[in-house]
Formats: sequence, structure tokens, C-alpha cells
Amino acid sequence: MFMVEKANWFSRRYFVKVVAGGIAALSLPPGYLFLTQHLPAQVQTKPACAEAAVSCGTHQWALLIDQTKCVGCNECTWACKATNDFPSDSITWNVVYTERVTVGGAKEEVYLPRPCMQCENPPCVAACPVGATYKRASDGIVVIDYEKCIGCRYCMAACPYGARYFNWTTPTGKNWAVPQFGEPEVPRRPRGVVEKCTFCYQRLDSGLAKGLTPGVDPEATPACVDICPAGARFFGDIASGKVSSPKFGDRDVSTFINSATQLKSELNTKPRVYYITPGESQQ
Amino acid sequence: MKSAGAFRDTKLLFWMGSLSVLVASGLYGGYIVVTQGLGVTGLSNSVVWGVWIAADLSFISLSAGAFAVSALIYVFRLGRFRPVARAAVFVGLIGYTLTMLTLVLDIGRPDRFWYPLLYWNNSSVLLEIFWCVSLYAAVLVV
Repeated sequence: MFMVEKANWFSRRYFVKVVAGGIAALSLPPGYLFLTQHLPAQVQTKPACAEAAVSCGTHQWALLIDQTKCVGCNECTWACKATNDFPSDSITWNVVYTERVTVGGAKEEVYLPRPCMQCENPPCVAACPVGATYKRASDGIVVIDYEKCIGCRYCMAACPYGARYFNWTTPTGKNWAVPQFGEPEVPRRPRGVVEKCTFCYQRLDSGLAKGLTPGVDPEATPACVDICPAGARFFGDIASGKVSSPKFGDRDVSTFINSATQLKSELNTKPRVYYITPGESQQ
Repeated sequence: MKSAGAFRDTKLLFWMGSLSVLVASGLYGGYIVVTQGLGVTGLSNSVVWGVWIAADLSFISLSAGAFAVSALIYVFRLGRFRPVARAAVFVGLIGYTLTMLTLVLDIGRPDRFWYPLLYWNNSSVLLEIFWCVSLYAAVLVV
């Protein structure tokens, strides 16, 4: 059937070429204007503290989660929900998983809070086709440029921890966690982009700019660490030798760095979230 | 002769009619996805890739077959395949057009589908896929 049209094939091809060429030529000038004027600005590459007297170039933030203290109350999840403002319950940057285990004949519940691991070797960053998710040069926190994300969700397939969430619909409506668990500190993300835990970098940046210490001063500490009523979360610069909680004091890095568990460490993602598991405390 | 022509017309009408219904429902579905977002697909944060990707891969494999046949004819000069040459190229073009349409609808920000042209993350497999798809499609169109 395709051979029959041989007689007018040349003219049709000619027509297609002319039309395609015309469209291309016509779209070049406005396309160039659009590109030069609407390119997404490089946001978040320069932390606020870069301008302040305090240097923030060498931080290695770490989060310690003590499962022997965690009571599974989920307040970290709700504080995160309020602070980072996702009204839909299908998005929870922090999740508390519950597992029933038998310890010495008695049945117990063990809780596993799971934020983003802020990997030193993040698979999601390697996967992103446009480089919208990246490690901040200043402290290695893995963040997402919401102006650049095309929403392909390849990073979600790449993340071994399921820590990434997609805005399937436009986030609208009331966030029930506000104001009981905190006030929103970052704008809502648009529909069609991926988001995840940021270690509350807005608090770290503004806190460091004011000369505060994340982990010690509540204003500069991630919301989940501030609210934890059980003393299960500690945050700090691992290079400083200790991680802290505003309410529950310090933990020396040396006490857990060799014995703590990192989730799926066999994948060489090098998470910055450390866990003290129930088994370790009994030794 | 006349009755055969009439029969052929009814048949054509039937196929064109059903295809138009299909295309119209597809366009309507695409419109819903673009206006209301991917939430309507029933995908969730635990199942992030759905029928989109399956359909997309089917179109790619269809085009791959067409590509192989075209290569047999145009590169390796196997003359006995010549009768299907144009059909092969055309099927390749259709397959890749559908692939790109599916992908554009599948990503959360269809308005940013051209970003991979500008922002290259060389470690990403998807970037390579994007370039292969667009370059092959461009070749097919020409």
C-alpha cells in the first residue's frame, strides 16, 4: 500500500520538509528569548551562612536515632509535616515503621524512624537525568531544585530507602499538623516534582548565620530532633565529636560510631543517619 | 464491482470510526492528566512507575524491530526485504512518536520535558535514553 503512492511521494516529502523547516525557523527566535529569560535560577547552591562570619563549608551533619529510646509516638513525623508543610497524608518525609519482635520469649514492638539518609554516595543524585537533585557543596545535604525537577521519578526508583515522595496532585488545603506540631517554614512544592527530607537545611543555614549550634539550639536544629519527647534523636556535626538534642543533651560520637547500624550499608550509600538498635544496647 | 467498493467503504468507515473513538478518548485522558495531574492515574509513592513505562517500552521495542528491519534493507542491502522498507520506517516513526507522547505525559512536569537538552547529568541512564529517543525520532522524521 505504501508503494502505490510512489508518484506523489516526492512532493509529500518536500511538503513535510518545508513545513518542519518553517516551524523550526519560526520557533528559533522566540525559543531563544524564552531560554535566556526563563531559565531556572540556580537556587540553594549558596547557603545563607556563606555571607556570615561563620564558616559552614566543612560540616558533616549526622543524625543519631536511638531505637532503644524510641516509643513510636510519631511526633517527629508530625513536626516534619508541619514544618515542611505537606498537607497530603500520602507524603511523609519521615516515617516510623513498627516491627513486632520476640525478645527472650516476650513480644515487643520495635520502632524504626526513617528520614532521608542523606547518603554520602546518593544513588538518587546519580539517577537524575537533569541534575535537579544534588549534594550541597557546603555540607553534603542532598536537596532538590524544584525549579529543575521534571518529575520523571527515576530517583524514587533509585532510592533504596523509599525516602522520596512525588506530588501526584497540587498540594492544597489545610495542613492538620499546623499549628499543633509547628509552623510551615518552607513554601509548598508545586505539583509534579519530587521532594524528601532536607535535614531542615533552612534551620541549619539561618541558625549558623546567627552563630547558633545545630543540635544544641532548638532554632537551628531539625524539627524532628526538637520535638522528640523520648530522647531518641540526636543531631550534630560528626566532625565536632558529639551529636546533641536540645532537650536530652549530648552523645559522644565515639560511643556509637563503631557500633551503630546504618540502613542497607552494604549498598555503599554511606548514610549519615546512624541507628542504635535494641540488640546493641543489651551488650 | 460496485458492491465490493461499498463493502470496502463500510469497512473503512468502521475502522476509522473505532480508531477515532480510541484517539478521542486518549486525547481526553491526556487532557485530564495534564490539567489534574498524575494523581488521577492511581499511582502512589510506593508504585511510582506504572502502565506508562510499560506502554513506552512496548513502543520502543516495536520501533526497535522496525529499526532492525530498516537496517537490514538500507545498511546491509538485503534486497528481498525491500517491499517492507517504507512500512518499517513508518512503524518506527509511529512507535517513537507514541513513546515521546507517553513519556511527556508520564513526567510530572510536561512543560519541562526539554530540560534534558540543557541540563546534563552524565551519570544518569535516563539522560542517555532521552537523547537516543530524541535523536532517533529526529532521524525518522527527516
